[in-house]
Amino acid sequence: MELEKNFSIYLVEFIFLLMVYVVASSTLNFHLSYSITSSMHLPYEEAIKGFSLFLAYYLSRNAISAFEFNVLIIVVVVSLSFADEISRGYMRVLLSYPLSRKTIFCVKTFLIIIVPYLVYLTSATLLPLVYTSLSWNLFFAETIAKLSLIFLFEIFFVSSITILLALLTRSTSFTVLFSLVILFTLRYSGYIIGSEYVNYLPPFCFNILADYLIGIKFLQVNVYKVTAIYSILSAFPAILSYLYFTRRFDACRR
Amino acid sequence: MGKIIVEMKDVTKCFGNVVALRGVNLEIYEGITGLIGPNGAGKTTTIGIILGLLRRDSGYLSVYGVDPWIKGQEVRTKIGFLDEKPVFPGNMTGRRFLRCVARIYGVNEESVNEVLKIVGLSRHADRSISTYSAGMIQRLGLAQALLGDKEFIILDEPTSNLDPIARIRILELIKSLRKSSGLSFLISTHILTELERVCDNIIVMYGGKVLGACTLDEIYNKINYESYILEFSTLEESKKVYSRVIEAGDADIDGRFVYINQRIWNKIREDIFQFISENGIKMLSLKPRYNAIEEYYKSLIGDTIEI
Repeated sequence: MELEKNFSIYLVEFIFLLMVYVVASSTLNFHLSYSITSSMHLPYEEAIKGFSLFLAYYLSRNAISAFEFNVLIIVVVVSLSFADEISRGYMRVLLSYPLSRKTIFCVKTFLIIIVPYLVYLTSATLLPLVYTSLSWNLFFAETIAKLSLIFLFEIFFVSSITILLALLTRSTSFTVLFSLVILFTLRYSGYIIGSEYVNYLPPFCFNILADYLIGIKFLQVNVYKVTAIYSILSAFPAILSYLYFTRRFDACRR
Repeated sequence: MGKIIVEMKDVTKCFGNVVALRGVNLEIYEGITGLIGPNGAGKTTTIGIILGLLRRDSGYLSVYGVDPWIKGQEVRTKIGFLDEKPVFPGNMTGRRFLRCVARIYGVNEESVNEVLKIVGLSRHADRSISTYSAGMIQRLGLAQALLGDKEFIILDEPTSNLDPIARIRILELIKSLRKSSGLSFLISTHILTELERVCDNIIVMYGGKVLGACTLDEIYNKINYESYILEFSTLEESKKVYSRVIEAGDADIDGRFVYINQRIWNKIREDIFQFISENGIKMLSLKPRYNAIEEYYKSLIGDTIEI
């Protein structure tokens, strides 16, 4: 019922189309920047010529970052699944059934994470086919693996913050507004403050964490320690929303 | 009075600085109970606490012998709930939605068809919920509340968004369900005249407190007034009936209208009907002069409501 109600075919199609663009552009972006900065020689220029080269650069330069994409999609999905249901009274109906709050919270959160993630995996699986057919030879399993991990961590982080805001504000518009402000502030705080440690805050810590998990360990040990702390802290909103929903949440507050 | 379903003692509930319930004491028994009170009286909060949707701040609460906040699942298998403005997934059909709810309660497809038939939605069950009228949504809400092995149905303003015909249908449905399956109901409403049609017990709330609770018979006994007006086609006819009524007790006459006390009317009703038919008297109408619950409500709340 939850899946049918909140994930209509149009929404999934919309996510899929955006996801294809994000994955394609992010892969090229990662690949091209990596090949330029790394000491390894990657013969991409020989592989792509003319219009293909232009297209590859165009896509890479206009890449929507995975985080920005996740914020937009997850905020919409959480607003539909939590904030809208609370404000319109559907949550009250749902909680009046003999279901535990734990079950309701877990099912909703699981679907919020898994549906966009499955759509991502589908588009990521399609990419090698596209690249191979264009003879670009640009597809790297490592890039896709890294992106897959980053997507998973970011979807979890964004959804946990947005769910917490939805439960606290009980309003769709406030949830969207506050989520976007908080998440984009985190995203761009590094550029604004300029402190080195801000770069290890979520969502940046997920890049380092993903690198570490797939075996790329080129940073100092301290950086990984800080990243680990921030990554653990980033799970805090999810725990807080779970506890609030299961123990304190008043379903028919007016 | 039947078996006790809900027992509340000194229950309080605050939302921030707003005190919604100030030491509520009430008992709900089997039968149809009306919960009445002005806006902000605490009716919806009381219902929320009974269902385990809200956590009370203090006090004792027992629903079927258990605390609904702690053992909510157990309580909610026996209780059906229809919200004031029910919201259901618009992209699903009525039948599909009820099937999903049936799965939660562990009941089969047959039960879905049965409740659809009871509420009169069988013909529209395969239409998308987004195309339903307010009355149909309300009936769908009642259908989902009836699904499963229910004993007690809570209806929060079940007729507030309905036209008069749909209101009458819903109330008749409640009455027939009480008779046929022995279900108990708690009906929260503002429309007091409706309650007299269906309720056995009345609870009046105001300012987060229970001001009074009694049976309908007790209200009739408490509120002593000329409650019925009999209208006849001619003055002679009304005089004839009046002379018959006055033999039994207090009555009054005003032209073609005869006013009979509630208690007297209850005693001599059959006799009067027989007298009217034997003498070929044409009675144009028979209606209550006042609404008993309305009078009771006014006597409790009086002038405390600010308009």
